[in-house]
Amino acid sequence: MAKDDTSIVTAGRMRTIEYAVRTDGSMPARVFLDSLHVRDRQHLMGRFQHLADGGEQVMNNQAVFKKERPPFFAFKRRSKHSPRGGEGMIRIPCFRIGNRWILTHGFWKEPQSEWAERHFAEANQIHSEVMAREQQATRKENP
Amino acid sequence: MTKSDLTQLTDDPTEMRIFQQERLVIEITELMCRTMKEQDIKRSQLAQLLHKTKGRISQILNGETNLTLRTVADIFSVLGKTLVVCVKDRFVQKAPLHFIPVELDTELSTATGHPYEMDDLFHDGTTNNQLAG
Repeated sequence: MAKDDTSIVTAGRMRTIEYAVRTDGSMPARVFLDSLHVRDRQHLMGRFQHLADGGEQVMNNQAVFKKERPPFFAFKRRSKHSPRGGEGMIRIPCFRIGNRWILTHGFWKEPQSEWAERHFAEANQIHSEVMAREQQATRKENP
Repeated sequence: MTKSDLTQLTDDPTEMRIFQQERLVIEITELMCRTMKEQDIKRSQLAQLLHKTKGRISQILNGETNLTLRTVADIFSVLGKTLVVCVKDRFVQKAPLHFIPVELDTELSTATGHPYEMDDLFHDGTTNNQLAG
């Protein structure tokens, strides 16, 4: 199925969930989600919709949505469909700008391990790119 | 209007079917977590009450397992609650932050005081295009 090139994942009454768009136009979180097994992808879509509809106060389960290093939170999912076969842990880092949650990228984590530092570095890099563009847009609106 | 990625995905009947399954699992398990939080009940305590392992409880609460309705009833029962269900139109993507004033119908809420009781009222079959237009 051909899909539009939208960066909006979903919009609810409380929040909008978006893929971060990098300076080169790529959307790493979208590419990652598209690579997942349909069960994992739709489970995460359900979590995004839950957050979009009810806001942070309805995210009651820290095992699936957790604060990591500021400003990042992460959606978490244990999957039976890791690329290596068997179980793996999915992580989707994200951060908030006003009513919007921006998904930076996604990765597989080994069970019982900490995030590799490169994933924080990537999230930070994407965060910087998004924030720079946001500030540029604000300056254009309020010269 | 550009469709959101979720709307595009759920144009596919298989994706939509699995999305509906997962959404129901999430709504029910989040209700369980919320009730546990309100009552300050830990996963280990719930495991004891249900004669299950803590690992099994984590699988249930994290939506990793195909719950039976009997298990759902058991969990709410040991939490001193009952789950009230209703049927509504299938998920329809809505325009963001659009407000439709309606009367709150308490019949739509669950016995646990689901935070989405107002949200239910927005699922009135109105399409995103109608809302946006």
